[in-house]
Amino acid sequence: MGLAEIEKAAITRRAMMTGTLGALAATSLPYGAVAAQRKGGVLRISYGFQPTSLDPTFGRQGGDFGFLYPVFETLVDWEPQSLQPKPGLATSWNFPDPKTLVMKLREDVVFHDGTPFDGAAAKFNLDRGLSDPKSTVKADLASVDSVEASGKHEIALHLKRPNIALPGILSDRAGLMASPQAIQKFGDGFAHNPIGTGPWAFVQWRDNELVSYRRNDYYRVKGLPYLDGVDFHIIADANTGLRSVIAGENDFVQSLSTAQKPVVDKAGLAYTFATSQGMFPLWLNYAKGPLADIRVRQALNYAVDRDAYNKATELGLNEVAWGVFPKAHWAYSAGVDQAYRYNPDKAKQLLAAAGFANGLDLTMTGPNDQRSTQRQEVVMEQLKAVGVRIKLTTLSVNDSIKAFFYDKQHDMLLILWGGRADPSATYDALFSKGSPFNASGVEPDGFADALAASQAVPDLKQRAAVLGKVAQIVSDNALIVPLVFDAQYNAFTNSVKGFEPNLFGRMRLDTVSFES
Amino acid sequence: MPSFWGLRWVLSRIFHLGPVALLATFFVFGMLYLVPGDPAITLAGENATPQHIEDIRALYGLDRPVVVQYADWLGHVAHGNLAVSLLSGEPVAGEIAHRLPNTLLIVAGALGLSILIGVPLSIAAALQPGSRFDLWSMAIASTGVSIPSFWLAMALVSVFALGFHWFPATGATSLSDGLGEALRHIVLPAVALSANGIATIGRQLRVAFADALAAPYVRTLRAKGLSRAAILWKHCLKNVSVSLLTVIGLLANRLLGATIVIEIVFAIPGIGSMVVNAAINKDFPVVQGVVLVTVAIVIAINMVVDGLCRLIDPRIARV
Repeated sequence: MGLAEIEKAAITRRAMMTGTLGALAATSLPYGAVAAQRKGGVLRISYGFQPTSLDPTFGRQGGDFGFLYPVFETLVDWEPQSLQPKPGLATSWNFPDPKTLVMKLREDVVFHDGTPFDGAAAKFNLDRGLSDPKSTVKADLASVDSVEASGKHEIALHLKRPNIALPGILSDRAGLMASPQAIQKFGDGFAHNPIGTGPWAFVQWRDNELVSYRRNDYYRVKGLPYLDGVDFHIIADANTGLRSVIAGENDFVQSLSTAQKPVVDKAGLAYTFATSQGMFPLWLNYAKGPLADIRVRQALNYAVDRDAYNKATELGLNEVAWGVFPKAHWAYSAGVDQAYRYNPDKAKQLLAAAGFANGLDLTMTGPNDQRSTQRQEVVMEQLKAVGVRIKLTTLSVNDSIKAFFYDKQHDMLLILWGGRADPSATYDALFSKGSPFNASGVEPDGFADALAASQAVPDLKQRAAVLGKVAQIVSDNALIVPLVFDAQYNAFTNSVKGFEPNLFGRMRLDTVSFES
Repeated sequence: MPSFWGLRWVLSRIFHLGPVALLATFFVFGMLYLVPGDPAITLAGENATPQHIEDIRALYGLDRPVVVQYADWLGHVAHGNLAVSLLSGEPVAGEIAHRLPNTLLIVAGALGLSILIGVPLSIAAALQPGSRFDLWSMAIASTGVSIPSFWLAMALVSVFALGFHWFPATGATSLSDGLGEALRHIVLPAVALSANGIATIGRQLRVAFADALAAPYVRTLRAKGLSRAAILWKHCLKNVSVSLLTVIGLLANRLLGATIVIEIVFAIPGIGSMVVNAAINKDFPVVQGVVLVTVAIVIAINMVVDGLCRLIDPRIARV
């Protein structure tokens, strides 16, 4: 769920690790891209978990997007390497006034069931997201008051408050467009009969076993997709998934851990290794106890040796995190880089100044799987060196999230954050006092104003500068202890060409083909 | 034709199914509630506010007392359906019907191998008590009991699937898609699962055979000049068959549980992997459905074993 699967977000940083991959990245081509890609073939993917729902309005975790993108498209798309918004099903958008967003829609798009995509269909989807009791996108659309089909191929979103981040939000789950006729026809059964406008049409979903898609011959992008179909084989264990590719039973395995790199190398598989905007931080509850003191939070930031942590947990391959966005992200703020460079002496001084010269006891929770436990142990050892003693309680992913965010039972949590499509939405989710992901329920002075300012500037460059101020407030107040960014590590047979990882870490297969 | 007492025995065993299934499902339902976790949080999605989580809890009826929720599920069962999955919304009965054959095929394969190898092994060892063969075979049997099935499974995959490419490394095929392919898929899982079964049958029967062979009636049979084969197959095997059936029954029940790990290692869509996923996500209807079906299978196996034992040794029926 949420944060947990918070577990799968990503993009390309030190692009790929082999010379070939590096060269390809330098020419901005997807891995294995060739001048003319062959059409045909069904890509067999080993995927680590099944979708929570194939109804985009009801889905519950980031991992669903691998299954949703073949069928559905968003109103707003994003550049894979920077996450900058770009036209999707909406060709353009503007804010005629701060509380109205007008979007022009494509006129050449039909759903897989033959019904047209137009303003009425877009309004139907957004209204459903706003009002359906089971909707999981209500929070994303919280700033929207009403939706109007202002033209045959135009919609107007009337807002409760100015929110320039809305186009970015509509490039996420809330912006996925489904066939209104199919939703009305199938009702609750739509999740097993999803119909969108994407490159492939849904064929079947066998629970925890298989999800299949076949080519949409009427896809709006001429020449795409290359593949005749995609079969997702649900294989929970990543080692088993990798073995299935080595044995030739699947073509592609997603979300491997760096620990599996020797096996991938030995098997001679192709792979992509790409930094994502997903981040492993120490989440802090700074509403009470020692962490309410800014000096203690800063001490924790100084006490963590991020490079050593990266080497111990990720073979040193991932990007170290100083803020909440990696260097490739358009909202990356260089101002906070190296702000809390490893300095155990300074950490001890700050702790002593805060009245903890003889050490400090804190509680931490996190998932109980092997990889998470390794991360927790490394952090605990590093903090122990400056006198911070951690009492750790490990739980399942969902339970650790509940214990920390909802039950407020611990001082810290170590779990992956997957990020949001828009950077303001990311800061809002992480640090606004009303956000379910701010366990403290408080925020520093000036944060709300800075965040509001970031949501009121249309130009991306100007927004990046304003977002830099938000990043500075977060860093100055040490609201979180960023550790490393997650990496999207996928392996595949050498016949698979054209796979392009992205900063969101969400698998998209439009450009994938088999070798001629 | 079954006697009146035999028929009564069958009916009484079937009658026992109800209370046992009721107890087992209630116990599991309660356990799921006692361990930490909240399905409402899972169902509410990533950005849910506490209010939305409470709304979802009410929408799915998860805010009702545990006993009421259990009674609700029981009501569904009484009407002949196992409700729908909380997470996928799919009928549980359909999912179980789709996956159960895969699990049963592996269990049957492992059980068959255990009997085919374990029984001759135990006889050979019992015929040469104290010999090198006896010592070595029982030592290997002890190792078989100790080897974790998941480790053996991965070793088998490395050698026979990834190395020689003789068998698939993952997946399962339905019998309706062709017997040959279905069997090819279950060979490695069944072998991995049977190591423990071979060892168990081998060790248990070796003792039973040794006891039978040392019995006075065998000495009398030998003195009468009966051949070794006749003594073994006609007289000893009949005497140890009750032990054999009991071991097989227990083994079948154990294998049914042990498939969970094997299904995960081989990515086989069976009821084992289904219940693990459901338990982690607290998908109560799925867990309950699988438990109910498993309890029914275990009771059925026990009933068949008991019935066969009564046929072989009528003295048991009189107890």
